[in-house]
Amino acid sequence: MKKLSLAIAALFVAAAPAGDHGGKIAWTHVKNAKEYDALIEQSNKAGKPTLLYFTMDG
Amino acid sequence: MKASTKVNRWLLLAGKTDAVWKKFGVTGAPTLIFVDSTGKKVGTGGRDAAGLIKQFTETAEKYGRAPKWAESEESASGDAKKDAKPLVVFYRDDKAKSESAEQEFSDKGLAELYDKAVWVQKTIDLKSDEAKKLGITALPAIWIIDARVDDAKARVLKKSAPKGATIKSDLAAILKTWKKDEGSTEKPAEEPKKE
Repeated sequence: MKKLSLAIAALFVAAAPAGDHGGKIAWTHVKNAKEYDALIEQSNKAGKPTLLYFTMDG
Repeated sequence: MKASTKVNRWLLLAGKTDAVWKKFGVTGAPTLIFVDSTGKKVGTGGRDAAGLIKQFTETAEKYGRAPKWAESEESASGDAKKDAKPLVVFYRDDKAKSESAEQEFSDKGLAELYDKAVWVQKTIDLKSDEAKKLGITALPAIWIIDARVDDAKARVLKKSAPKGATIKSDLAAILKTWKKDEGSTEKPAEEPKKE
């Protein structure tokens, strides 16, 4: 578990866009399943893939 | 350009998004899943940082709807000449307007023309000599060029507006009269209509 968390942190530092620092990348916190569907619709329009991060604590 | 700007990042907290957890069969956390733009699972996040970074980049390239951007203006110009295709140059900076304009290239309608042209992004400073020489006074700017033509003015076929539908219609119009075996004889570039 710890190993994956560190890996995720490293990923976010390496892939951080301009303006993000220290691996603190902005995440979209999905409120519920309905909002998830709405976000998928938006991403389809934008033609963007998504990384889903399932976690017990946000 | 960082791949992270081309891949959404969503956090799904247990207890709030259980239906989504169930949909993907997720039973433990943390779990990383990549989905394409339609929400279809296309990969599972790996367990090492280097692997994850690679996956991130590959997912952006494989599943993101965007032109295949050339590495540099020089290589793009070379490819456009070799393949006898129009060259689309996206002059930009790192400001929000340019970031927003980049999204316009993911327009669904424009996607059908991705293979018909060569695409390149060129970061440019408005105060630079290059910008002055080109006559670029505002960013973003999108020029459709015939790279086979040497004359600096004649090679610019169209100065398009940063809207997916406009880029599509401008490029489609150029392709209609495009001659594969010679430099285009299109009329000189027109300024984009102000919105």
